[in-house]
Amino acid sequence: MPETVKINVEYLTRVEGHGNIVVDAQNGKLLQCLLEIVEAPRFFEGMLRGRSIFEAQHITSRICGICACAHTLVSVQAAEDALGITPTPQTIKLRELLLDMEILDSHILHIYLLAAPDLLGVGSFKSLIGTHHKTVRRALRMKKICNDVCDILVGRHVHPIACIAGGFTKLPAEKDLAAMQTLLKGLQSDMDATVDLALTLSFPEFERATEYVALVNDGPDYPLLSGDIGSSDGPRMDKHDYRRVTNEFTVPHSSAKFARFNRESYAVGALARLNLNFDKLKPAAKMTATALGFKPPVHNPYLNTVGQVIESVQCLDHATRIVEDFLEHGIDQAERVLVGLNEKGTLPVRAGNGVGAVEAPRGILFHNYETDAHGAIVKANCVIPTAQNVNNIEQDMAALVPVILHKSEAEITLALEMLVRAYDPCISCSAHFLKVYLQNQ
Amino acid sequence: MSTELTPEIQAALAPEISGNTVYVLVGNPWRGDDGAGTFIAGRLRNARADAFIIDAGNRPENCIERIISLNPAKTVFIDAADFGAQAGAVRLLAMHDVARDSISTHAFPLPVLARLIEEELGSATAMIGIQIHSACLGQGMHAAVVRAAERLIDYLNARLDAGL
Repeated sequence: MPETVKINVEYLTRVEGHGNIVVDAQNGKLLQCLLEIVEAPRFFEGMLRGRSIFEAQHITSRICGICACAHTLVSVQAAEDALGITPTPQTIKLRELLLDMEILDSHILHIYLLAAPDLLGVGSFKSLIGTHHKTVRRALRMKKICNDVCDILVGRHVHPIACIAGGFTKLPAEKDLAAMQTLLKGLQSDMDATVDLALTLSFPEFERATEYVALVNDGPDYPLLSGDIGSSDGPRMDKHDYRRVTNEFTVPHSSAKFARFNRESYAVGALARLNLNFDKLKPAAKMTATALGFKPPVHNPYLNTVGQVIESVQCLDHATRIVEDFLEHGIDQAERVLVGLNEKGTLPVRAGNGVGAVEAPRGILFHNYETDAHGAIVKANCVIPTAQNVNNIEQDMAALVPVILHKSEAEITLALEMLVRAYDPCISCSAHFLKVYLQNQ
Repeated sequence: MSTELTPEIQAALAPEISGNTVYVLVGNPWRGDDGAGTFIAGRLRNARADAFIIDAGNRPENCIERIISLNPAKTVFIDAADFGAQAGAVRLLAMHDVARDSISTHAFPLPVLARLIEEELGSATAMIGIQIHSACLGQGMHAAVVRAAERLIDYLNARLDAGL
């Protein structure tokens, strides 16, 4: 390779947010390998201070346009924890359905629109349209169905309305359930085609054992909505101890905090969930995993995309079963709750400290609210999946670069871009373009 | 500043003589002038059997199957835009001039959608932009943007009503 190399990729496309990759290697020795997060902090925790805990989910859903439902769900969970409210089994099932659809939506977009252009060797999404426009249409059909189900369930997918602390302001009627069932059935053939597509993809070979963190619980189902914090390296911990897991710290080159637990870094997301909870997958998802050759523990971060395919099958299966179950047993419309800002004292209020822990598409997500006796938030903390992953991505890059230093600048750059994309980072939620500076002397 | 519709814009807006024309109005009414597309969609009177109005809101990508099913000879996107002119200016935009064409899970840019339609159907697409004053949350539309939208509404209604 050339003695001195400088690469400046102005736009790492197909990630959400702005960040830079800086790599400096001299004489084959890696001197610096950074993932710089250069977006300005967004101060959502500051915005929450003094606001009613009953509007927290509407504020925090704005953290993310794709994980709006996950932020809503974790927010209401934290609020209910602070207020001492236990959601009903029906509410929990409807929340699981909502989360299934959001994870499915997000995964499909990442698999098809962000990861596939690299894996199909077309270089860009624009090129993908030229060569695979039917495939792109399939992705958009699937996205629309996920959005439509969310619309029925909570008014709209982006920044949902009906999901609040205490339950739902609107519950699906039988015709709504029937409509959702039809939509989900319509998704199945496209899901089958998605698995078929995944079978044709090949991924870079790279492994680095790291710590994986995800929700775990004792129930029979693949845990996404609730549970303790599980780790591949240690005992499970109560969600209230999340700070002992995240151990956030700052680094000069990133406006996102970094996180570490039992090792120098840990990973969250589809790979982490599957490494910890593979046995709880539905049979269809397990069969998909087998067909794709996915056998945990999996330490290749590029295979996070394969994990997303498996989880997509899981979420569709699980969502379909929930809807069918509600169609069979009905929805208790008496559970509908109208709270607003709780002006009428519909729900009991107390001073409290509540934690929510939910698996967002990109990994475990924590919200923590401390409230006063009137239900006003006095302190808030939100720990976003991508912020937990950034340190691990950097560690992966540091392990990968020396192995591929013999390759061309273009190949090294692509390998690094694909690595970052594999995590499906939402840098805005923790950064728009990713510049790559590669200095190899 | 002028909201006059140039002959070029009028030609882009005109329904196709042979084949269907689909008008895709894009916008988020919660975001000030970004609501222009939805504002227009709600005021169009379409009497033609070969013209179709789609209020795509802020998720135009969700309308792709609907658009393709209509097999348009021409698809016209109308959206608020920022091209550095005075608020309310109306311009026929070249797709490559639309800055945001990088994709993420959070945003599906219109030029990409137009490209998909062109690849799928081999038909024409056009994009009409209305210069915004502000797209901040919780604001109404600026008077100049309203006037521009009304100009487009009047022109389109005349063409769609008359069947010309």
